[in-house]
Parts: sequence; C-alpha cells; structure tokens
Amino acid sequence: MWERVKTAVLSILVALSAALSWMLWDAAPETLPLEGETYVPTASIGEKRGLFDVVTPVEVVFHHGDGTHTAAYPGTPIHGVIAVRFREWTFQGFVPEPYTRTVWEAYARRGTGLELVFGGEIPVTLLQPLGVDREALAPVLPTVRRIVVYRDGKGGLRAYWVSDALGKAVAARPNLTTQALDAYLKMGRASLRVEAMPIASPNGRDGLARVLYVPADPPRVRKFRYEYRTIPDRAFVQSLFVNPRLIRSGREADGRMVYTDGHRTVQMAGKDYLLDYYDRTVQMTPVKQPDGLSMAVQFVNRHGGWTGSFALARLTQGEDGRQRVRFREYLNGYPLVGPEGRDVGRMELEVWGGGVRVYTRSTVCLERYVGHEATALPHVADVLRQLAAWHIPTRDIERLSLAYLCRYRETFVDLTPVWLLERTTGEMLLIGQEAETRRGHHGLE
Amino acid sequence: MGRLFRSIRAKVVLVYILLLILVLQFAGAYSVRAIEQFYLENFRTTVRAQTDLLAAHVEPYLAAYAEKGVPADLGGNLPTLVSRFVSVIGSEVQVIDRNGTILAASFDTGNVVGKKNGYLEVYRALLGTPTETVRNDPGTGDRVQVVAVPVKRGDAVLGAVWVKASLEPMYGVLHRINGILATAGVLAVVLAAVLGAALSRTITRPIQDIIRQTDAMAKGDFTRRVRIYSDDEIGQLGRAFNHLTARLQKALADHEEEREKLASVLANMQDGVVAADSRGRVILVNRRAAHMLGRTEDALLGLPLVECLPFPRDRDPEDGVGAGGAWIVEQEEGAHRPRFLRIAITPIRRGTARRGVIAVLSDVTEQETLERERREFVANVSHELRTPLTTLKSYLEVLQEGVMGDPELGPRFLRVAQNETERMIRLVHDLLQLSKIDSKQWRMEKTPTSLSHLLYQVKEHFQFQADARNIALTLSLADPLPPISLDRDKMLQVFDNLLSNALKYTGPGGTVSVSARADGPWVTVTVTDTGIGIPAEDLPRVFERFYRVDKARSRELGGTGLGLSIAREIVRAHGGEIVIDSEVGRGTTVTVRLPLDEEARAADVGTG
Repeated sequence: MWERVKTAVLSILVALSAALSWMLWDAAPETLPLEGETYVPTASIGEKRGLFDVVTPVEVVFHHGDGTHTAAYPGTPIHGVIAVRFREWTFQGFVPEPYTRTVWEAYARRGTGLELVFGGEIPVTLLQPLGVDREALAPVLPTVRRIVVYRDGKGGLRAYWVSDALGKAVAARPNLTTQALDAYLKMGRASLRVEAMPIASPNGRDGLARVLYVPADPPRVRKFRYEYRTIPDRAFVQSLFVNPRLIRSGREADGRMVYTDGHRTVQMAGKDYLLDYYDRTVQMTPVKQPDGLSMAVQFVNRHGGWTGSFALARLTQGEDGRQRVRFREYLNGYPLVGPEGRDVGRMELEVWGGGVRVYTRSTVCLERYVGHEATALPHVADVLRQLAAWHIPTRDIERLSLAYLCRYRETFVDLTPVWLLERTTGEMLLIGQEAETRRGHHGLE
Repeated sequence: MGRLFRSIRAKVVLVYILLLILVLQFAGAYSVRAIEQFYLENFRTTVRAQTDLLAAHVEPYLAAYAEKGVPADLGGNLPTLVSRFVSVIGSEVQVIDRNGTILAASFDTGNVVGKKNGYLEVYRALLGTPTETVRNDPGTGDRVQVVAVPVKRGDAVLGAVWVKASLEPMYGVLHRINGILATAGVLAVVLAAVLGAALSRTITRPIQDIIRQTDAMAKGDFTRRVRIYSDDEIGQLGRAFNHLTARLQKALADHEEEREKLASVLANMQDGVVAADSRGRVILVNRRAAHMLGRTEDALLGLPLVECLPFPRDRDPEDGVGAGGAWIVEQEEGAHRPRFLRIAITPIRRGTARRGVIAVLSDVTEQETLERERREFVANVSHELRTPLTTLKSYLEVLQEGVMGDPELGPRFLRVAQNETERMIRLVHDLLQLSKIDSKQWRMEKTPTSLSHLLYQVKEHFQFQADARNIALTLSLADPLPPISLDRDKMLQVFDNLLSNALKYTGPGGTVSVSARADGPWVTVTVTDTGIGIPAEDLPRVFERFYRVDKARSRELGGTGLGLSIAREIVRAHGGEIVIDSEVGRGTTVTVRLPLDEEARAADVGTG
C-alpha cells in the first residue's frame, strides 16, 4: 500500500514539476496593466486669459479739462476699448521726473488726458510689449501703479509712469496721437462722473500726487438679480490635481468636502461658495517679482480658467519672498463683493518661487440675468462723513468705489450696489443701504 | 499499466525525470532570470539615460513655461527631438508640465496634448521622484517600460518627461533563448527516460530473477539458483540469495529429518507423550500414550487433558495439570494383573507465560511389581528368620530355666534348637545364594558332566528316605545321555530340591520317578510324583521366593521357600528352563530342559 502511495506521490511530483516548468516557461514578470483611460482631459471651468486681459487698469479716468472727470471700470465697453488699445501704446524717453500735485493740477485738473490706475504695483518688465526699455527703466522704476497721458500744452502728449509704493515717477513720450486721445476722451465722456480728491502725501513723499476718484453724484443705481451656477467639485478636482484617480475625499464635521492626493488638498467651503487649494509640494523659495503675476495668471489658466471679467485687484510682496495676487470679478463696471469674504468671483493666489502654493477662489459664476430694480446709494459726501465718523482718514483710503454686494438666495443672487472702501491696509468696508453702519472686514490682508 | 507503475523501473525513470526537471527548472529559471535581468537592466539603463538627457534638454523650456506661461517651445520638431535623444525604437515620449498636462508628445494620435497624463509614474515624477515600472499594455499586449523623470530647476519641479518603451523586442530575444533551453531540456528528459529505463533494467533484472527464485522456493523447489550478472551490490545480493537458498535447503532437510526422527521417537518410544496447549486441550499424543490411555489418538486430540489422564483419588486433576509434578496410578485391566502408570506433567513456559503442558506416561508396572516383591521378600525374610529365632529363644529360655537338666526334655529341646539353627543356616545360605545370583556375583563353573551319573547319585541320596517313607523312587534313563556342560554342584542342588519336594509332598505308597532323555539339542529331566499336587492358581507363583502353596506344612517340613526359586535361577544360568505341571490330588511333574553342549558330548564319546 505504502509503495503505491509513494509511486503515486512520485507521479504527482513529476506532473507538478512539468506543470511548474510550463509555468516558469510561460511566466512573465508581474506587471501592472496600463490604465485604460490614462489621459484625462483638463476640466474647463472658464476660459483662458492673457496676462493683460486680467492685469488691466481697475480705473480708467478721463480728464476732460473742464474740471470734470469721468471713469470707466472693468466690465464696461469703454474700459474694454481702452484696455485693448493700451496694449498698442508705446512709450519712449523715460526720464525720472516728480509727479507732484502741481503737475497733476496742471495736467489733470485743467488739462485733458487719460489716467490708468492698476490694482497693484505692476512690474515694468511685464510691460515690455508697451515698448518699455526695461533694461533702462527697471533700475529707476521697477513697478508702476498708474500711467497718465496728458496734453502737454504744446500740442504734444506727455506721459507719467507713477509708482505709489515707491513714491517715484518717470516721464515719457507716448506714441499716442492727440486725435486718438481726443477720441478716447470723447468716448469717456459718457462714463461715470467722478470727483477728484487729492490726498495729502505721506511723510517723505511730497513729490508724489495721490488723488482719489470717487463717483460724484448720488448715482441712480440698480439692484440686479442673477441666477448663479455652482461649479461642481469634480471640475476643480480634475483641473487642480495631477492625477485625479489618486484622489481621496472626505467630508468634515462642518460639511466641507476635502479632496487630497496626499500632497495637494482642496477644501470646498460649500455654503460660502469658496475653494481653498493647498499644494505642499511647491518649494517655498522667493519668487522673482516680475514672475509672480504671470505665474498666477498661468496657474488660473491651467487650472480651469476664468469665469467672468476679472481684473487684478491687489498685488503684494511678502518679506519672505512670496507674492499674493488678488483678482476681482467685475460686472457692469462694479466689482462683486460679498459679506464676510463670500465674494462672487473672488480669486486670490499665493505664489512662491516653486509655484502657486495657496489658491482661493469662488466656486460660483453668474448665469442668466433675472431682473433688476432701482435703488439709491448715499451721496459721496455722506460716505465721507461716515468715514470721518469712523475715524478713517482719507489718506488711509486706497480706493472708494461702487460695488455690488452679493447675497445668495436659493437659486439666484442679488447684486446690491454699495460703496466699497478699500484701505491701504487691505481692509475693505462696504457702505450702502443694506450694508450701512455695518463694518465689514474682508479679511484678505 | 498499473503493474508498470508499481515497478521499480517506473520509479527509477520517474525519479530520473523528476530530478532532471528539477535541475532544469532551477538552472533554467536562474539562467533565464539572469539573462532577463541583464537585458532588462540594460534596456532600462538605456531608456533612463535617454530620458534623463531629454529632461535636461527641456528644462529651460519648462522653466520658461512655468514662469512666463508661454507655450513650451521644445526646440523644434518633437519627433526629431525624440529621435535625437531617445533612440529606443517604438518608444513614446511625452513632455509634461508640473500640473500633469501633456505639453508635447511624440505620437499624438489620441490628441493627448493638453490632456493630463494619469500614469502613476508621472504623478511620482512630479513629486520629484524618478519612477520606472514595467507594465502591460492591454491594448497591444506588450510589456512596456514606463519611465518618468522629473524636470527640475533646483529643487523646484517644473514638469516631467515620460517615456513608454516596448519591451517586446527584448523579450523576443529572451523567448528565443528560452526556446533553445526548453528544447535542450525536453531532449535531456527524453534521454534521461531512455537511459533510466535501461539502467533500471540492470537493477530490476536480477531482482526479477530473485523474485522468480522466491516463487520457486515457495513451491518447494530449492534446486534453482539466481544468475549472477555482475560483482556489484546486486551481484552480491544474488550470491547472498543463492547462499541463503542452499542454507535454507539444508536447514529444511535437517528439520524434516529431525521432525521424522521426533515423530519416530514419539511413535516408538515406550513412554506415552501427551501435549496440551495453553487452554489444556490435547494437541499431540503418540501412539503409546493412546494405548496406555485406552483410546485412539484421534479421540484424544482436542479433549481437555484432565479428561484424558487418570489421576489418583486424592489428587485434584486441575491442580495436577496446572502445578505439574508426577504421580503413579494403577490401572485395572480385567483379568490381567494391574498396570502401573507413572504420569509426569511439565508445564511449557515462554518467559512468564504458560504455553502448555507435556505429560509423559511411563509404564512402571515392572518396577512397581519388583518393588512390591522386594517389600514382600523383606517381609518374608523377616518372618522366616523371626520364626526360628523365636522358637530358638523360647527353647533356650526354657533350657535356661532348668529344663537343660531334664534328661528327656533337655536333649529334645537342644535338638529342636539345633534344627532351628540349621534351618536358619539353610535359610541364610539360600538367601546368600539368591543374593549372589541377583548381584551377578554368582559364577558358574561348568564342566562336562555325565547327567546320568548325576541323576543316579541323586537317586541314591534319596533312596533311603524314599524307602523309609514307602515311596517308590525310580530312575529311568531312556538313552545313553550325552555329557553336558554343567556346574555339577549347583545342578546337584537343583535335583536334590526337586526330589526333596517330591518326596515331601508324596504320601506313603506313592511314586516318585525321575526320567531323562535327549530331546534334540536339549536334555529333558522329568521328576514326577503322585503327591498332593499344586492348585492351578498357585502354579505361576511357585517359583517366587518364599512362596509356599501350603505355608504351614512347608515350614513344618523344613522348607525355606527359596528352593524352587534357586533351582529356576540355576537352570536358567545353564541356559535351560524349568516347568511345573501339576494337578491337585494326582501329583506334580517338574520338567527341566538343559541345552546340550557339543563339545562336552564329544568328550563323553571319547571316554565311554
């Protein structure tokens, strides 16, 4: 019996050996299959924009020479024309020259001209398409906040590039013709009338004129109602993560969804309609000043794009080398703001040398116009009095403009005109019928 | 088929194949893996080096793309670039930005540019870790080497270069190598099977011979011998087996002879043997035992031993069988004299276990009879000596008390004392004579003697006594008797005893005749009287020592009771025989036959 068992075992061993040989023969290294759908189309949330589509003046002020001033804001046709034409202008013969209040009084209050005000200090190297000799200009004026073009009284045009942050200005000769300037001024006549409010210069910067242009008359404004659309999380996940297949998600106690691949994190603040993106793989090395803005714009382009009319609202440089770039969406020339930071169209990026590390943006976009109703705003004098009552000196005012306060309803959003006060510290205050007496803090800075 | 697979040959072949396959497996697996690793490493190094080169080349472009956002200008036509840096045929190359979006691809058939590359390798590369894997392309079934290396500037990852290169050409080479190895392996296995079968035959053939020889031995044929093929272990086995066969044959013959001897001994031994197993059942009995026990052998086999053997009345059969020992029982056999059996039981033990018993039955009738006769003889001697001594003592005491002086009683009592003394002397003389006969110390001094003269002398000796008692005593010699070699004195004693007895028990007027005649090689002497005769039941015992038909009369007549016994011993010592024929009331005839001695007769003729 035993012998039979041994023979049987021997036969089984031979068979197993033969089978094992075949398996060795046929065995291939253990390989993972290539994924079937390896290539994921990048999600398109909005459209891509060029650098100067968003790095555009937040104010285009028309000086008509008769003591009146009008202003065009992003999202208006006139602003669009000027912003496009501006890219074709060239400037030559940069010469450092103080841009004093006297100069402003001579050219702006009594003369005619255009004044382009940017949301932040723009590196002049970015303006190379404007014919800027950056090699010559950059050492003198690295950044520019406003560009003014005036009739010089001699039949020619004269331009000033002004850096509020540096308190410097350079004079230049634009290639713009007087006829063109006149045509722009003619177009700008129909824009919102503003009052020029010279502001005392800070100590040590007496050579630099600072002027606020605020809407002059109590405007007859309209309160709008729009449907809005919430951009789905999946679109952001696809656009923000390198490999959306590796994403793990979870819901926090407060209901916010969190997506992460272990290195990048996206937190969706549902009720606030905000997205917070954090990429810890970005090297925290100082970013070159000229590069931060373009890196921010490219980042938004490559991660979903733009969903409205955006303009650079603020650009700050941190002492540790990072840059913070804030864009704001405009509708009919009014920036969209929200209470307690829940802005529609808000977009803010923290740029390091290694790339964008933090990205915050709104997750909604306006859809169909639903209706409007007329409303009124306090007169600017009342606003200024209110500010005085709040002990806010005019020199602390960065900009005082009209804005739409967004209030989200079930399926639509109400856009209510308010006064928007932006302080030099970055603080924003909303003043209006509904926002009056309430001191809102935007909290971005 | 089943028998084939039970054979050693099949096992040897299977073991050969198994070992060879195992060796081929290990060697093949090791060599193939080593070759594969070599090719794979070479291929991987090539692809990696070219990928690193391409990554270094596109680094400035990706840096500009990351900083300025300008479209990546990779320095011209990508296929040209790829052919310049990646020379692996059929490889697919992609340049990817740090967001995973493909900026350029060598083959953009799927319009992958602008899409995200979801390969894990790319993901890891964009985290700064070069990654290489071997994957399987489900579309083509090809194994592909996927390499993704990060494009860095400093520590910042700008993007990645991803290369997917097919490994199939390399595996084609490996496949051909495997084919060569497999073909060699199959040929080796076949060759091993053939050689194994041939070699196993050299082993199994002598074993098969041994098996056949074993079968023949089982049938009793020890004459065959295994053929020796070689001088190796198998040959030694064959020799050992042949030696074993011879030894076994001799041992079986010896055993058979011993068995026959034992059977013969058992069958012919005078003692009976009965063997019982551990349960006490008879398993062996010889013929003698069956005879002694009065049953057939077949009837005894299987019976309990206690039921077969006779036991004394005072012995428990179970104890007798169980404890062993020996005893003597008396068996009555009808009219014959009783037979005495000595039964000795010996337990058979193996270790402490009792395996059975053996009972040996011995017929001790002779010994027992002799013993009884000895005891009777001693009693008789004692009695015969005590009687005259008592008489002598009585008479001597009377004489001592004063009868000695009595003229009548004194001599008479002295004569009685003398007679008793003579009687004791005769008795002692006869006893001494018997003792010498029994101890073989008795020497016959035969001389050629004339029996006629001897008988005449005896007749003359008793003639006076016969006349005194008025008994006719005659001697009749039919022919001239030849001389015979006799111890004259002892034969004279025989005939004196016979005539004395005849005269004692023959009354007055009776006749006592002595005759002698030659009877062939014998000489027959007959003493016939017309006395009282001897009862038939006493006839067989008249020659016994101290046996008297009429004890009182015999003792009165001065007999010792030993005369006939001595006479018979003397006649037997001469090679003759003595027979008594008697009838109560009509007389007794005693016939003595003595052998003739030719030499003595010749001498007698010469002297006559």
